[in-house]
Amino acid sequence: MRKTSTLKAYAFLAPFLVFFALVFVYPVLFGGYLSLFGQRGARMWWVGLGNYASVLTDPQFWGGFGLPAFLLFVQVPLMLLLGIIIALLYERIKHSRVYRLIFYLPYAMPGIVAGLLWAYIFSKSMSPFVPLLHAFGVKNPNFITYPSLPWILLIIILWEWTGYTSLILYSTLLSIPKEYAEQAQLDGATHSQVAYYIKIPLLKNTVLVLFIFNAIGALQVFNEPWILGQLITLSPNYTPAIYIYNEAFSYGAFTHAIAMGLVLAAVIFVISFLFLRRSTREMNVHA
Amino acid sequence: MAIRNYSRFVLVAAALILATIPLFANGNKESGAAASSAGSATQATGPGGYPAYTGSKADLTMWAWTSNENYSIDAFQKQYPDITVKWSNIGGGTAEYTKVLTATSAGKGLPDVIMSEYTFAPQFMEFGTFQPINKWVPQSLYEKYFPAVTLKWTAMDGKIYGTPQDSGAMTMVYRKDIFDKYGLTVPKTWAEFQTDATKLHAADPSVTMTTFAKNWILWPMGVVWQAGGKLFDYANGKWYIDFTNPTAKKVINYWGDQIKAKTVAADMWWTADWYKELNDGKSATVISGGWFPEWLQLNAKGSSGLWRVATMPQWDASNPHNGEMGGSGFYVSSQSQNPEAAALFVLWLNSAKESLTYLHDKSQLPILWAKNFTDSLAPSLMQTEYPYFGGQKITEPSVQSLKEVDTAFTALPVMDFVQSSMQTEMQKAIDGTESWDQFLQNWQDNVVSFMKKQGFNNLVVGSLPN
Repeated sequence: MRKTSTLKAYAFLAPFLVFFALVFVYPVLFGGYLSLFGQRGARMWWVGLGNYASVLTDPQFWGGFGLPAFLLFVQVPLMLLLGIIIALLYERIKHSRVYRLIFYLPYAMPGIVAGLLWAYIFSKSMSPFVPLLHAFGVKNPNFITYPSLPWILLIIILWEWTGYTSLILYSTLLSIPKEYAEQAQLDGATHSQVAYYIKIPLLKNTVLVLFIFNAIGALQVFNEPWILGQLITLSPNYTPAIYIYNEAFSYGAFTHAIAMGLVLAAVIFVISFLFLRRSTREMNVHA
Repeated sequence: MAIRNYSRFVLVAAALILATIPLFANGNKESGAAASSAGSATQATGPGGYPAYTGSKADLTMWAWTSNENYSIDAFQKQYPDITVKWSNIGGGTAEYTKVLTATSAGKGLPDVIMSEYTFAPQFMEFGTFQPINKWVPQSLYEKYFPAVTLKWTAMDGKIYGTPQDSGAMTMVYRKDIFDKYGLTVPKTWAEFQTDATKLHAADPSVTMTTFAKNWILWPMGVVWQAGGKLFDYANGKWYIDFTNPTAKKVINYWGDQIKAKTVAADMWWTADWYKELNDGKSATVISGGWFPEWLQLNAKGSSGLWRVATMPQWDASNPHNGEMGGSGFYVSSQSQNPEAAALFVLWLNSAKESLTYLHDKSQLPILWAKNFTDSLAPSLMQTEYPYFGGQKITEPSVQSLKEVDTAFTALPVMDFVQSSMQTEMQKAIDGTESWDQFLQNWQDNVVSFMKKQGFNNLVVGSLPN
């Protein structure tokens, strides 16, 4: 009996597993093999772990983690906080469905289109905000400069992802039994006290998962800085992902780029693992 | 199945093998003869004095972004009926180079013919993307059709890899309406340019004399070239790097001083903002390659009729020099199975009179390197009036600019990094946090350490070959 049900399970999983093996497992393993070679053009020669040694001692590579760190420690917590507040508001306000849709739309917009949009918004001569700033006496505003770049990225990423995040948190809130809130309100709690003492603690697991996914996204960030690279010149190692891209596609050093990619993956894995383990330990303690 | 009679088997096999030897002998003799005859003056002549094609039917593929190449291709196919060419435009510049790098590394996927800007060709030569075509286009034949100076961009260590198409000989396009409005004279020297720039800034600070392209390596490279100098070169198997030579310092500080005085802007080119500025008349001149007039017509339609083309201001009016910004050549790829056909194609495409006429008229390339163009065709084009330039006959200053290019050098095989490191370092000089001399030094240090990291151990830093 059990055997057939296990077989059935695998049968259903098979399409995904095959796809996963072909598109994910095989390239990683083959790439790992290739990363043991030096390469220039079509010539390859054995270097063993030479590529990895070069990556681990490369200050340019580690320097690129500056922006992801900024996103990790500023953007992600900020976005989760905003997401929680918005999700709680979704429960309270009228026509919440309309707002849920509007805030979700940026996530549905293709990245290229969003990039073009933001390029125009931050353009010196064609931005719709320029006339507004002129009215306040600000001539020749230069939105995008090296110091302002992380904050611009913050705005763009928040715009892209907060709606999606709040929707996920909202769906978690829906699963909280209404009796908890009703009971507290009978005892005289205000809405904010209900939110703070009852709902937010119950969101903890979802917030944890969201934090890990967003942390991974922050460490791998590529799209948004790349798009802004059309408006301001970026250093080749602005983020690790951009550095890897340049190494492979601008200089043709593919095997070295593979080594970088695997090191980046290892860094992300270690951070996620440590964080997850610490949090599950906390959860188990509380439970 | 065992062999019954072993000795008989051996005898028959030996006989068969011996019988086939004459076939091999003939084959060797033929190819040997072909190898010795090609590359000498006794090469069989084909259509219009060009070499005959000695191979079998060939289908070539090409990656190129010049517009309307199909006219030249159709004409070529009539001259060489055994060769067909299929042309794809997979993107210009970097978009194509990424694919070229990937296909070279993968060992397959390259077309027979690849278009590449002269500055990026050395990278591909070093990378193994091209194959030499001396066998079918020896140097003597090459120099019959193209000036020897172009070998710095189409050959390395005596191996010729392709032929040059358009010239990026620098010209200055300027807004006649702005010059008239503020009483500026068309500068013939850089001193006059600086005077004009100061006058313009005093009259209207919102308009600058020109925009220094801070995100395009060819611009600073070109203005140094135009002064008779260079930043790098290749000779005798070594890459020479010297960004801090006196000519480079003189030129960069000339521009740095004007940027500081805000008479010249330092900004990104090729952005929507920049084209809008050109249309709106925020920039009085644009210093760029000879192909820029075509670009301008396509991207700044709003200012049609207001621009004119002039030759470059000179450091010494009695001793004119010029440099190049851009221009592309056509090269034969290392993965091509039909190198003879590809070699004959790139030779004919970029030098045959019929092809050059199409490249000039249909592809809108104003100046081409082939001797057939400068010597035969250009004179007849001198009278063409261009409405976008207010009816000016722009061929004349363009060809004059081409003739003033009398020096050449080979670009480094890491131009992508040279450009990106230039951008980040130059911003500090523009912001005033370091001097322009310091910018050149730091930029050079970055490039040298990068090349060493990429495995180049044949660098000479601090001097340049002649």
